[in-house]
Amino acid sequence: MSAGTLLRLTIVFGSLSLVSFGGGNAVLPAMHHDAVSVQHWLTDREFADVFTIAQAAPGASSLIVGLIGLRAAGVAGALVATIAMLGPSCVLMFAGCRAWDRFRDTNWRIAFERGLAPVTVGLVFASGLTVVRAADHGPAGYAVTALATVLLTRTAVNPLLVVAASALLGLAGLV
Amino acid sequence: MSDGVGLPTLAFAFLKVALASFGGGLSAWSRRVLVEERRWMADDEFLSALTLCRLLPGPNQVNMAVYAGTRLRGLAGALAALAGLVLVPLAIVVVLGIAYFRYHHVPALDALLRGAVAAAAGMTLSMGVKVLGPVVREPVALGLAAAAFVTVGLLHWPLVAVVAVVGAAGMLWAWSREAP
Repeated sequence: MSAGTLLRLTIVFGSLSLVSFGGGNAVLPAMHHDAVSVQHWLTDREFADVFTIAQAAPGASSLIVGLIGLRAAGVAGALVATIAMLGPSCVLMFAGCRAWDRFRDTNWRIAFERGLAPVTVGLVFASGLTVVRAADHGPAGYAVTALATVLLTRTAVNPLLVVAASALLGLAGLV
Repeated sequence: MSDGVGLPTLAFAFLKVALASFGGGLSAWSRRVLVEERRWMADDEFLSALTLCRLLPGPNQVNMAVYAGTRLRGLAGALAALAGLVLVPLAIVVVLGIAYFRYHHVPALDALLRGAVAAAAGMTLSMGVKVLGPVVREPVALGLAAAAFVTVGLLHWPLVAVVAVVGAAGMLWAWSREAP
């Protein structure tokens, strides 16, 4: 591990942070290009595997940058890569919130919130559809998704139980 | 407004969101915790904040942590919420990563994930159903939601363009309804 590697991690992920519109997955191709083809921090296969690990682990899937940093420069690399990836966009979001707060209780902010809410509802369904499609699963998978939707909407069952049960079905090779 | 929210409470709320969202469904989990359990914000505010979080760069739920933290406790709140959302999951990912780079295979994670994703998709859809209530009662709102779903979900139009057009229409509609 060298200071040079940490610096390169900072530059690579720091510059991706502010262009990661639509979440971390939007910059995944650029991340792959930089980390695998340009910097040679990890192989193609390793990139695909750490992507799976980041997806499966709890928390934001953008923590894949921590795994790339880990491979490039150990635990310090994981920390540096994560801070570089999340820092700039968080600072922007914080500044945005501060500015936004000044409009609290103004008519147009109220109109913004009421007017945007239905749009977000549509976008939530669009996200659900994307997840269902990306999962690329067979009839059993769709049945589990449908059953989970009904259970989570109609009953007070703890969602964690539903997700855990479903994960076990996956482990058993049934989904 | 919610001056009483302690920083550890904020951090733990987002830690819960992070740990619960195994397989995905982070925004459904943050709605559950922020709106249903803690009642820190109403659905309208949560939903518009969610779109704000998607429009700005950065992972949506990391942005949501910054939003909720800032809104409840300013800079310290944002840092507490971020720490709650990121630190423990990062530690878990690093431990998994160390094991992976040593043994070079992903044990049963793939199979576990396939199952979890199927349920996480259900979690997201059920959140959609839960917030659909007020929308269904208003034909215009339902039209706006349908327009956003079709353009982004089925036609894959760019999010920013859709929000600019459909969101502006929604604002005009909300504005005209509020006006005396």
